[in-house]
Amino acid sequence: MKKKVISICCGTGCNASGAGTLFSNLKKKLNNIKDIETEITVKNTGCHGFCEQGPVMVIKPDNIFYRQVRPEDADTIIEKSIKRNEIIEELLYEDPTTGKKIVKEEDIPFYQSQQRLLFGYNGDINPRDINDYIATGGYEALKKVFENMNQEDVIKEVKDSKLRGRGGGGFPTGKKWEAAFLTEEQDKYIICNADEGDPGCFQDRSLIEGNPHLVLEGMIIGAYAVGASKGYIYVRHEYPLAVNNFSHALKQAREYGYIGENILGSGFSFDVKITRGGGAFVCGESSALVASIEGKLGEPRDKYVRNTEQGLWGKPTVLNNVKTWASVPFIINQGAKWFTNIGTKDSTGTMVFSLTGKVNNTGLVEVPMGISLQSLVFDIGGGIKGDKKLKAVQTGGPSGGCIPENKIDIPLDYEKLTEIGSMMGSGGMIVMDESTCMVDVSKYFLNFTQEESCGKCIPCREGGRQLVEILNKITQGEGKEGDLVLIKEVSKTMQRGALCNLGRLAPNPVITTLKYFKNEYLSHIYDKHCPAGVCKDLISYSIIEEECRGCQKCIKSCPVDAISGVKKEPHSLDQEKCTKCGSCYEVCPFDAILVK
Amino acid sequence: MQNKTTLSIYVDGKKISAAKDDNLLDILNKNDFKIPTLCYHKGVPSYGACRLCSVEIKEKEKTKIITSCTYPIRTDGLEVFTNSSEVLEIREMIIKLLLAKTPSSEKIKELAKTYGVESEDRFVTDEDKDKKRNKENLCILCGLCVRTCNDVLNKGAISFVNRGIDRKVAPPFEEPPKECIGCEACSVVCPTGQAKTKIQDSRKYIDPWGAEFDVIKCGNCENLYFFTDQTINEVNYKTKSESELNLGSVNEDSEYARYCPKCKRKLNIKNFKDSKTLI
Ligand SMILES: Cc1cc2nc3c(=O)[nH]c(=O)nc-3n(C[C@H](O)[C@H](O)[C@H](O)COP(=O)(O)O)c2cc1C
Ligand code: SF4
Ligand code: SF4
Ligand code: SF4
Ligand code: SF4
Ligand code: FES
Ligand code: FES
Repeated sequence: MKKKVISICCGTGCNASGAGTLFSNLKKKLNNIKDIETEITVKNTGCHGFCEQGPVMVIKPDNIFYRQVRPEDADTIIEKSIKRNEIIEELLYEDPTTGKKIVKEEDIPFYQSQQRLLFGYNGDINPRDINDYIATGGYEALKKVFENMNQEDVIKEVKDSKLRGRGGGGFPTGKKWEAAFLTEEQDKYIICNADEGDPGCFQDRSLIEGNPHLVLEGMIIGAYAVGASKGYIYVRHEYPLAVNNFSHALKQAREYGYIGENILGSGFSFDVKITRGGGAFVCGESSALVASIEGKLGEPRDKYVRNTEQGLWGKPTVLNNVKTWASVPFIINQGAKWFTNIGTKDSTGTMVFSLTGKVNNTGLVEVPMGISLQSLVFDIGGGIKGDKKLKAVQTGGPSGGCIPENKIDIPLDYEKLTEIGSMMGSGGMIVMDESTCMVDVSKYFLNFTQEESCGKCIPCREGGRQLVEILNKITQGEGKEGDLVLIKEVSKTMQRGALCNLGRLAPNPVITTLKYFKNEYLSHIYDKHCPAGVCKDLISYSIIEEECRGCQKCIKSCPVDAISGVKKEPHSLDQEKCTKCGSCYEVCPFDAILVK
Repeated sequence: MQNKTTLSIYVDGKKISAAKDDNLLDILNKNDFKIPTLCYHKGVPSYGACRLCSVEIKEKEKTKIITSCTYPIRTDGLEVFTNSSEVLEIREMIIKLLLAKTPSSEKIKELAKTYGVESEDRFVTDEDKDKKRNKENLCILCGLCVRTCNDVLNKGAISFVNRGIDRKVAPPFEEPPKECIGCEACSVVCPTGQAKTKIQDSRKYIDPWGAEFDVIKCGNCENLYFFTDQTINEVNYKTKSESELNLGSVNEDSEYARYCPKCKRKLNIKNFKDSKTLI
């Protein structure tokens, strides 16, 4: 009998646009038909990465990709695509650059240049069914470890793979494990950091929601390697589905003997507890996270003594990011050598980015390390939205840096990104077009870090605050000679003197925009002019008489009645009343509104 | 017991010895290096909040800034620089930031004077922003009061609340704390005078937290005295077993604890004399 699988993404994104109902509709429909030759399974899976197009589904084995599927499409899908093998044109993805409809998932440019390793099975497995995971070769790595490897072997393999922490810092994972392994303490802990607080990032969430056993298998192997009998996963409190799927995974893994006492008869025992995050961005920082698990105020402390020596409850603790743990089973299964062949010499494996901003295709993107930013933005991202030009890309989240358009060919690896003042961070990536004001952007990011600062240390709490104030003044036309020097001085004190990386890295956006877009700052300060036309206090709207046809569209759109005039005669705009909302600019069909 | 390893470190070129895991700031102080501090107190766990005690260290050819009050010495041959240009820059900027935070604080003004730091006009001060609320607010959020009350006394009457620039010290629910015993320890350690105590008409006010107490009378001379009942009880509780002094006729701890310092001294002298005759 022929088999077909309909994989419906029921990740948080697609669910929000109705994937859940679509799934149950399809199930109901299928239960009622008996007259076809094919065995059909409907599967609710985790995120496929292309959330922007959600709800998305893939019909296998032909990999027919449908997007923006509505619950009421269930009928048509069964009638046409399942019973008659027809393709439903309206549900196909259309390439925005060529206008062509694409049938198969793998032919969509968004997926073409990706190398989906960690996310490779997200579209195939039901995250609540351990057998689905096992069918993809899941828990084979764990068996291999217990059968053939001692603790040193595992650590050596991970060291040789050159895997680096995916939580931001890029610290060599094997080295971290070794440090904890070598301590004389008996009690040790491992922690999976799933606090994921960067705005717009949801890689870790999608992985735990979509393939929880992969993360868990990595954790069990890591625990065995360092000799920890207890583990924690610290999940951001806004992630209920992640918590649900992971706790379900724990339950099943316990039933199958993959966690608990004497795992698979190896003599090794290990179990995992779920802790829900306190909701603050700073709780993702290693020492704050440890304090938070201990039930204390989630605030960082100096780490002159590392967690691997004294972490949770004073015991050696290995803390790794979700993606770091999830990489481990691949390394064990396929070997360190294989892993080092992906990526570059010092940044091995794949990296998952959250591609957002002014690109045509947004979503989760997994690529080999070292791929160029150009390829990510243009091949996978499909270029800039509308007919605008690329201006800059912010990588590394709110404390990363802005990479200017002329450096777009930079390869994405840890060193190169740091070299130009940005960082890998947790993989946030925001694409900005020419309508972006870089002073405004750095103000935005600094505001974020300032609001998320725990407030413990002076450089971050007070320094960050003054930076925001200075930037506010600059964007309000009150910038003064010397402001830029002062920004640099305050930034330097934060970078070197702040207690944790939140404060140390917070100046990155302002430092990089000052480096690459200094002229924009100068225009704001000296000419009281915002070249991008964004900073409200520095722009004015007016009507170009020669262009205005007196259509009265702007009059209707203006919320404060600042525009007046009779039909078919040029209108006039009252600067005093205008609140610079920009509505008239948006509606004018003749480009008669001037922003200056 | 195993002896701690002795290490040599070099501070501004001078060789100094220290035991492994010694606190760097303590060692610097012991050797007369002048390091400014605001959130450190020898009797209270280190916290690393003000970053004023920052110094530069050299490790594997790389220099970095660390705070000496939270740094355990572990490397033999560690090089420390207490006045490098980086250190001076950070120190100066922190003082400038503090001048903007609490422009009225005498303590901070004095610190600025000592280190020759002028205020930065372009910084916004709390007083510009919110005059009413902040004129009297001298708190620099060093956390000494919080740590003293929580970690030293185990009372937990106050803690930090809110994040970022909204951070402040407050009792639970910002109501007069039931846990407070009126011991005044918070005001003793407060470097700025924000946590102050006032005694008026036989009442004691632990001002910033809104706690109030009757002060007790001396158990002997009946003069008013500055302890509170709650503090006495705490002292008695903590020293319950046997009094360290042989109190002769007054063998109840609580009685002794209730004496004012003058009467305590008198009693001690008497006891001392009595015990001598016994020998
Ligand atoms: C303010 C702040 C927030 C952080 N948030 C996260 C987070 O959400 N997830 C994460 O994995 N690491 C986060 N980190 C990095 C962690 O401190 C730590 O380096 C990381 O979890 C270690 O794991 P890795 O070696 O696998 O990267 C954060 C760091 C800082 C300073
Ligand atoms: S750098 Fe910022 S977030 Fe980190 S401890 Fe200091 S105040 Fe808190
Ligand atoms: S910018 Fe807004 S407020 Fe100003 S004239 Fe146009 S519509 Fe009216
Ligand atoms: S006076 Fe009250 S708040 Fe202050 S340290 Fe004593 S118990 Fe704590
Ligand atoms: S009240 Fe005093 S001791 Fe407490 S945090 Fe403020 S300045 Fe420090
Ligand atoms: S949630 Fe469906 S593709 Fe991401
Ligand atoms: S005294 Fe060391 S940080 Fe405050």
